[in-house]
Parts: sequence; C-alpha cells; structure tokens
Amino acid sequence: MTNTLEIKNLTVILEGRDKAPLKIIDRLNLSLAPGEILGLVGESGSGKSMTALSVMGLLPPGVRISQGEIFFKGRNLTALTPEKLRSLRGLDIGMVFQEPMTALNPVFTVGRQVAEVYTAHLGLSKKQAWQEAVTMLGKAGMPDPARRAGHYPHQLSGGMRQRVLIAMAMALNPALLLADEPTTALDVTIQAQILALLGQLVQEEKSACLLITHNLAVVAQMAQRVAVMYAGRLVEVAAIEQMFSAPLHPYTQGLWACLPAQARAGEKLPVIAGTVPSLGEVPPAACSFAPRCPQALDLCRQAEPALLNLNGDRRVACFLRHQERK
Amino acid sequence: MPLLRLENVSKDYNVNQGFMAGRGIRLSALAGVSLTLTPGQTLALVGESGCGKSTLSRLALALERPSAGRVFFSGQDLNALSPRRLRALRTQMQIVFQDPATSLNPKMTVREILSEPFIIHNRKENMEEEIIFLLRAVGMAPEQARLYPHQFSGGQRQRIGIARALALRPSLLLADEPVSALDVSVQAQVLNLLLTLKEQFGLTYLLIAHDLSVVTHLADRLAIMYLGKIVETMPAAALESFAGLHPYTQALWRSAPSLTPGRKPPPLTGEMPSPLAPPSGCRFHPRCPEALSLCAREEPALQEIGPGHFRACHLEARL
Ligand SMILES: Nc1ncnc2c1ncn2[C@@H]1O[C@H](COP(=O)(O)OP(=O)(O)O)[C@@H](O)[C@H]1O
Ligand SMILES: Nc1ncnc2c1ncn2[C@@H]1O[C@H](COP(=O)(O)OP(=O)(O)O)[C@@H](O)[C@H]1O
Ligand SMILES: [Mg+2]
Ligand SMILES: [Mg+2]
Repeated sequence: MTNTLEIKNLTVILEGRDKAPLKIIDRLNLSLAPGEILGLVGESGSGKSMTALSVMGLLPPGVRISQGEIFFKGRNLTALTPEKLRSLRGLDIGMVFQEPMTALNPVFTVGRQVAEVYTAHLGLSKKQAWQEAVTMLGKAGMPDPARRAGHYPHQLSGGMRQRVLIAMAMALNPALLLADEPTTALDVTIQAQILALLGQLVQEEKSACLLITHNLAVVAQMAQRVAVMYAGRLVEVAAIEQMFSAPLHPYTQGLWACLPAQARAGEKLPVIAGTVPSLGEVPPAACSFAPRCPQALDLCRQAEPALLNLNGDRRVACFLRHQERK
Repeated sequence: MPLLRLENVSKDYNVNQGFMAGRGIRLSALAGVSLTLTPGQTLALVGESGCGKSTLSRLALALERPSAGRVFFSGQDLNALSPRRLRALRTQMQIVFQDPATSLNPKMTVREILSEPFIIHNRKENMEEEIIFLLRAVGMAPEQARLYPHQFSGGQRQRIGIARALALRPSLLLADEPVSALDVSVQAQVLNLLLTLKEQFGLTYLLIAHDLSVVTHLADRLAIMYLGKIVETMPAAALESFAGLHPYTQALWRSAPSLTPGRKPPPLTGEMPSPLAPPSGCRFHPRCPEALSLCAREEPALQEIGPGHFRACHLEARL
C-alpha cells in the first residue's frame, strides 16, 4: 500500500539578502500510512510548522524547498503547479491551525465559510452547500449548528472556532489532515473535547494525520507514532509505546525527564543545559544537540549522525545508540 | 496573620453589549470569593479562561476595587488605606506576567528595566549592585544588562520579568501563567528558578493557571475556580488521593492529557457559560456529570470535608 505522505530528504532554507541561506529544515524523512496519526514534536523554532507548510505549498516569502520531494499518495507535490496544489488543498489535504481566528475570515458567517468548501470543490449550489455545512458543523460537535452557522467568528468561543476549522478541514474527507498545535490555545476541558473529536473523525474517514504539537502528553494520547525534531532535524522516530517507555536520543530523554508530571512535587526538575540554537548556530558537520548533550563524544562534534534504523521502525540519530547496537 | 486575605469579595463590571448599548448590563466576574494566603505558602489558583483569575489578582494587588467585600494585605484593608500608604504597601506585592514579550518595554535595556522600580520608589542607593545581584539571582550574567528584550529567548525574558518583580524585595509574588508560554525544557528551568527564589527571598506565591498539571508541582494549596466562584480549596496532596474532590476539579485533572499512551474520553461536555447569565443553583450543574435536581435550585456553600479541604458541592463527600 502506498503511503499517504512520504517526505524525502526535505531541506527548507531561508534565503538571505546578502548572507548565505540558512537551513530551517535539514534533510527530513517521514512517512504516514493511511489511517495513521503521527505526532511531530519539538520545541518552538525546531521547524514543525515549516514542515506542514512545505506539504501545503504555503511557505512564507523568502523560505523555499531547496532539496527533496514530498509525495502525496504517490504524486510528487513539489513538481505540481501552484494551481494544481491549490485544488489539492482543501479537497484531499485539510489543515487545522493553532489560532482559528486568523484562519477564518472575520466578515463572513462561519456557515458560509464551511459551505464554500462544498461550492468550490464539489460545485454544489449555495443552498445545498449550506445544508452540508450545517451537517458538518454538527459532526464537528458545534452546539446548535443550524443557528451557529449564521454567526460570525468573533461571536464564537475559541473552542467553537476550532470546531469550524475542523469542519472545513474534514468536510471533504481528506486523505491527509495536517493539524498544527490544534489545541494549544484552548482550555484543558475543551482541548480534551477537540482531541476526542479529531481522533474520531480521522478514524471514521481513515485519514492520515500529521499532528504537530509541543505537548508530549497530547501525542501520547493521540498518536501511534512520534517523531522528535530538534533544530530542523529529526532526532528520533518511534512507536508511541516505545518512545514513552524508553526514549533513546539524549535530547528526547532530557525532554521527557523535565516534565513536572514525572517528578515529585516541589523537587527540582532535571533540565537540559543551555538553549535551543537559533538558525545559523547549528554546527553543519556535527550532531546539532552535541553542544548541550551530557553524553557527547568527540565524534559527535566532528560528524553528523544519520537517522538510522535500530530495529523495526525505530530510528535514532545518535552515535552512542548506534555504537551500542554494534 | 495571613499575608493576603479576601473576604467575600465580588466584582461586577458594567458592559454594553451591541444592541443593548447605553443600557449597561452587569457582568459578575467574581461572586463572593474568600481566600487566605499564609506567609511562605504557595497557592495555585486554577480555572478555565474567563472564570475570574485575573480579576481576582487585580483586586489582590489593589489595582481595582471590589464591588463588595474586603481585601486585606498583612492585616490592612487595602481599600481603606490612604494613597500614600497604599503606594508603600504595593512594593510588597509584585506580579510576573504570562507573556514576557509584551510585559517588557522593547525600547529599554535590561538595566533600564531593572532600574525602574528603584527609581519610581526612590531607592536609588546601591542600585547598580542590586541590579547585578538580581541578574545573578535569576541565572543571568551581569554583562547582559546592556541588551534589549528582543535579544533574549522567551525563557530569559521571563527571567528578566522575575528579576524586575523581585527588585523591591516583595513578600508576595503573584505569577499569572508564568510558564504557559514557554517550551517544555525552558518551563522546567523557570519552575526550578521559582523554587529556588522562594527560599532565597522568603516569598509567598500566588500562582495562576488554567490547568492543574504544572502548578501542582510548586503548590502547597490549590484553589479551583469556576465562573466567578471558588468551588474547592485544598492541600495540593489531596489531588493525588482524589478522594471526595469536587466534580469540576476531577474533570480538570482528567482533562489534561497524560503521558500514558492511549485515548481517554473527554470528561466534560459543553463550555463554561457566560458570566452575564450564570446558571441557577450550583454554577457548574449544567455540565456536571453527577448533578442532582437540588443542584439546579440551591447554591452549595464551601464546607470542610477533610483537614483544610473545603468544597462547595451537594454530593455526599466520599472520602
Ligand atoms: N515567516 C518566516 N520567515 C522566515 N523564517 C521563519 C518564518 N517563520 C519561521 N521562521 C523560522 O523558521 C524556523 C522554524 O520555524 P517553525 O517551523 O515555525 O518552528 P515550530 O513550528 O517548530 O515552532 C525558526 O527558526 C523560525 O525563526
Ligand atoms: N474590565 C472588564 N470589563 C468587563 N468585563 C470584564 C473586565 N475584566 C474581566 N471581565 C470579564 O470578567 C470575566 C472574568 O475575566 P478574567 O478575570 O480575565 O478571567 P480569567 O483571568 O480567569 O481568564 C470574563 O467574563 C471577562 O470577560
Ligand atoms: Mg509552529
Ligand atoms: Mg487571565
């Protein structure tokens, strides 16, 4: 079976005006099978959103793919014209963002914005499209959807706006859903509702879902696999149970250990020394985590470890782990 | 003597809503809240957005006056003080905001930012030494004093905000979501810093958060708010035993995703209603999975159900 999404060797750069380009994403490889939820985690600036935007063909000005391919159901997206890509978006690839307010148009009712998905991609009449929109809003858990469809975004709560975005994204049963921090701005009780809804819709439609978040617990709850990003590179990919029972990369280990939920109340938390490198600070021929790594060898500062398969689908970019396997 | 005490405090706002413009209607942001904070304690005030946490902090810092009830700081009624006395007392209570990016003046260097409290309160002697001391206390280098906020990461900016709050050696530090804008690893560093500073400066903390997961690491006591009311206050350890907790506290705790892989059903349906039209009886009853018919009619009062554990709920306390 072909993967729904196959990202191969993706490198994304920020063009400098008079400087050399800076790498935002460095040779990233990821795949998503139909029906699978893959969690993409990492701290801010690690390149998670840029990964999603690369797939959508929506990179901001000055940022572009310099290398690599993105295959969606076997088709190379990086070779498509912008028009082709646009029709694919919305029809077969849906996306949900952190801040629904900026993704919605403030001057149209939310019903109209959902309906537009049906008129634009399926050619439904306005009346039919409105009916479908109300039904879809209901599926997305909007209370009293027939009435709420007539509301403007500012008249709705953050949770309801996120339901509108999910309705738009899932309206046409997309094969792929990109969800970038979909619950980060929400209260916990609403977050729990939205996560349950996303999980249910993705399961019903057998969509593949790339779930981007900085919250490891959200990933634990939602995903089957998780990929950890650090400074534009993937450092570890594993099945959820493997990752949460024994992370292998020193960065992943540090990230897991510093969660308050893992510690005894009132005690100091283990921390990762130093800070995330900014663009351009990442050493080119070295492990990007080496400067902060408590276990780093000389080798780690002289060469870059590849993301190697250890067993099955478990991949780690760390010389220590590679050596242990030999 | 408690450091901070709120006695049956309410706060109403007049709001004009579109078509009702001109005919102001009353929004009850806080409705009869009582709270005590003893010196050296860390109290976490937890509830979803809009429940009144920021309103409560503005009243506690005497930035606003309550519509009813009284606020005492070190035994003094904040709203009965002369402006001069109030100004002096204010140095005792400081606040750290959620978003260090917006709470620091981008046009000022760190030195200027940290000088401000000393200049405003006319305590300029030893200011330069003090600034260096503060920077070191929050884990920064004195050389960084000449830099501007944008030259720092989010975590470092939060450290600057904390240093500024500590300048006048307050006894109460109020922190409104101090780590929720930070990344996991930076969050751990700032939580550790808060633990250290509490000892070093002998602080009392009032921490404000919209979820239980992080603040419980620091807190001795918890106060859970829902729609302008405190529904439960208890020792933080009571959360672990889970016995007799208010249904809302249970829902808040269960809503936070855990690190144990696997799906969980959402504990609550619906959203918090508007404070313009709070539900009758117990304000939580329309969302409460265990509501009795009594809950819609009668408002439950806070009752002690265990040592230091107060709960406002009609359900039998099963301890
Ligand atoms: N519009 C933009 N133009 C140039 N660089 C950007 C832009 N947006 C983000 N970046 C840079 O790209 C890197 C990755 O950002 P992003 O993918 O947004 O990270 P994440 O989503 O993991 O927080 C960061 O270093 C960021 O500074
Ligand atoms: N100055 C104000 N005028 C009118 N309404 C206000 C004002 N401040 C807060 N509110 C309302 O009071 C309620 C509580 O707000 P707030 O204290 O900010 O909650 P929280 O900090 O828990 O999110 C909300 O419904 C809010 O809209
Ligand atoms: Mg992002
Ligand atoms: Mg607030």
